Amino acid sequence: MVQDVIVLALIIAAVLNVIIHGVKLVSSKAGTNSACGTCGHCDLKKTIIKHGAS
Amino acid sequence: MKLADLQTGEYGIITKVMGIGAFRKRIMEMGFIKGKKVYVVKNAPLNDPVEYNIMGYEVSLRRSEANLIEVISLQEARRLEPESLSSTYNGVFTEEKLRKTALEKGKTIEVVMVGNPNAGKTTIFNIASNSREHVGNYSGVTVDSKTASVNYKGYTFNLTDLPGTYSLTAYSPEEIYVRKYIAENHPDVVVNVVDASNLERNLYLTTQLIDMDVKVVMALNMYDELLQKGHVFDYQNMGQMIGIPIVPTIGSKGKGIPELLNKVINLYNDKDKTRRHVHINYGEDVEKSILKLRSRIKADVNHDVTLNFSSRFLAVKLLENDPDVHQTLSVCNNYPEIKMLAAQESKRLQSVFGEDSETIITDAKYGFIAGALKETYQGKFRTGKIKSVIIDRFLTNKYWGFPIFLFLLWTMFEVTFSLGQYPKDWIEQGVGLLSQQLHHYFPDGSLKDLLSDGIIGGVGGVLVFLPNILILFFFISIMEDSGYMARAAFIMDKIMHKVGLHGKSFIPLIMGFGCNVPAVMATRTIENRTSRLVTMLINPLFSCSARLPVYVLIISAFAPKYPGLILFSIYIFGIVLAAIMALIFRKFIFRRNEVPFVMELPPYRVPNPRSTVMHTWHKGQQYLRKMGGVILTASVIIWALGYFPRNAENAKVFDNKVISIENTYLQKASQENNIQTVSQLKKEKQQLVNEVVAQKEANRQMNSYAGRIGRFIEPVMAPLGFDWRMSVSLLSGIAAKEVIISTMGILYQADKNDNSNHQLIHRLQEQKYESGTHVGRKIFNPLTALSFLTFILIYFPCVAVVTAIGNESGSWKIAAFEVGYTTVLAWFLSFLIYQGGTLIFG
Repeated sequence: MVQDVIVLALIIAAVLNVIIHGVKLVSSKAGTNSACGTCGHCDLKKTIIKHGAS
Repeated sequence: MKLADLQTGEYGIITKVMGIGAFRKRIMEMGFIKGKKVYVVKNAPLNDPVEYNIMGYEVSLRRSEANLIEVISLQEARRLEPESLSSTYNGVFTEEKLRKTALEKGKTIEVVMVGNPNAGKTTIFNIASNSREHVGNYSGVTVDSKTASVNYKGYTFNLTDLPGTYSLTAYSPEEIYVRKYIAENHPDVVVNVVDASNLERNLYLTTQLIDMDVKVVMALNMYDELLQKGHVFDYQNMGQMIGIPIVPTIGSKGKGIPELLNKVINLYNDKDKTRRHVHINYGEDVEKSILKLRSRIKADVNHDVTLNFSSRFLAVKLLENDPDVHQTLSVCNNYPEIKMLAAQESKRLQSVFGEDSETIITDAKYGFIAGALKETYQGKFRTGKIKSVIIDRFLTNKYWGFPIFLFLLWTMFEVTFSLGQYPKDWIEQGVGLLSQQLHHYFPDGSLKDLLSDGIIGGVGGVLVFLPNILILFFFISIMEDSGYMARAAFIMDKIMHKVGLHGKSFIPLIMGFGCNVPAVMATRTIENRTSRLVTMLINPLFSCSARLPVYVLIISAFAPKYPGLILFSIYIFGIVLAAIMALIFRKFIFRRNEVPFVMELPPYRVPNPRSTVMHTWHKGQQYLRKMGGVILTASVIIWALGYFPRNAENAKVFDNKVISIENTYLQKASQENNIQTVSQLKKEKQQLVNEVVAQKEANRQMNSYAGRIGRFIEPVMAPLGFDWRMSVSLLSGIAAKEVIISTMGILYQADKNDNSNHQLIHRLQEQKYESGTHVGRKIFNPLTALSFLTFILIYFPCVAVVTAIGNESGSWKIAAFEVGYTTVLAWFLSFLIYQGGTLIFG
């Protein structure tokens, strides 16, 4: 029973995580530091600077 | 007179707008353009700012800004009237007349001539102005500036010949003089006289003019000498790449001078299409320093300084420790902060590169020149460093360049595979051990199943590929830091041109080997929209590192003989496919031509071990972070979808079967006295029980939510040789490609009675069809594996990439098109491979 409750909580957390990331992903502005974390590239600006765009 | 000189209540007509970059653009957008009438409404209490009325609205300008706008007032116009007329002039000076005078005044062009010593500036100056200045064929003839006026096509050219200088650094008085003259006098056009027979050295000064963001026309002097040597120079292409119009001239014969003056008129009137401001790319670390310094320099309090100098130019000069720029900036309120930051950044660059920042910037400029010349110039030219020239002879050779590039790629994948195998095995053993311990000590229940099958099976399955990822990034980092990556783009340039793209597009594409998200963003360097869109669309065909673990898994399981070669072939197939798609897009969808770019060829460097390790570790961190984020989340969800609903009725049927087998065995065993026969019966019973347990698990999975989804899409995927589990894995890969592995780890669960068979590779090798016409046959064979790999290479890029494409292209239709075309293409090619292969090999 305790195991089931923990599992349920973990599943709900995972689903919420998907929703939050989804919203962040769609609303994140490219080229800024407001990344969603989905791709692991949290500092996207660095990449832009590296290739000379401004 | 300047706009700032007008008094309250007076008005004038604008004759010229000076200034540079963003200021000039902004002021012109506000309506301050030639021929417009401006009234002075009022002055602020301290005489600054001043309120003006232009085009019917009020706008405030600082006095320093108004000083950059030239106007003609009524009084000045009267003064300019010929004496005979003004003495007899009694009538009203009409506005029409004022406008006419303003127009005349607006036809005066301030031109300065700069160039290396002995490049022929004074010769051109003399021909253009009919002057008789002393000209010699040795350096430094012009020791001070000379001015002359010349009328041409209704324009008055005020020509100024500045001393010859190799650069605009503050080493010699000439250099400081030329730089200050340009910054403080705001010439309308700078004529950069370049010795065509010594292009590389002469272009160094040009790169500094580019940094200064001034209007430049290049006089490609002594062009005849270049032609006599049999060299070919595509100066028009070069002009487009560096954003500067180029006119070939032969000063000694007066050839090309009228064309040069025509170009100056066009540029002055903003009618030249070649002119654009380009940024020389100094590389990641230097650009980071420039950005920091620019933000301090551009602070509002330094407005007066940035009106005269481009902030980027000042930032570059600060990194070069230019004392004169320090002097210029010393008037700024935040100068102590700027000075400290410049020192810090110079020190940082020195620690990263092992060279002083001035050398690093000089190298980058020569890299820019080398890249531009390599593409436009056929003939011998000396690049910045001899070492680089020698290495380039091999690495960018017409014949060997491409095979060497392919060989290096192959080596990279071979080592990624073979060297990565050892640590991969260790981690795999560790994960297996953890799973066993969990089974042993944790009480039975759903949490145990989640931890063991969902988290260890899912995340652990991805974790084992960390060494491969680190090795791949180690290689990519070495290629980038050594300067080879720029050469790779250069080698690909010819192919890229054939598919309608520029070689520069290859840089974001190569970045796609790491992750397609930053690669899509890096397409911002491509100014032309259609080229940018095509580059974005084909980018996901360059396999990102997230797909690497899937390739490694499938290749290890089904093609272990030549893993490196197969991995290499997949990447090459992706590149070839990208080229074909680019060609198709260019031909049928995006047909516009693109603007050429300079591909910098930085000098070769021995990669700094610290920097390489840092870059590699950074990528490793990203991978681990991803595992703790999206992969863990997806694993929990996929596990839940595969675990629920728990159908007690169905389970009971199988449990009853097991009980029945057990009972039958007990009954038979009780009647049997022979120990060997009892042992044989026990074995048979265990085999039957195992089969029923396997059937129970298969039945449970089939009826789970994941199973239902899988079976729903299975008819579409079955022609490709995929079962429902593979289909669900592919579907989950939309979140991130590594999730394919975690899903397979969860769905292809090990036989719980067989502890030796915990590795996913073995599980995949043993999987059999549980239903349908192929029941009992192994799911995976080399053909299915190839079809699966092809599908993964091409289909739906992950959701982060799709979003990046949507954001960067500014169109969700483009993002939807990306999803559509890649998935259809993936299906079609996998179908051809599987069905074609089945027909041929049976």
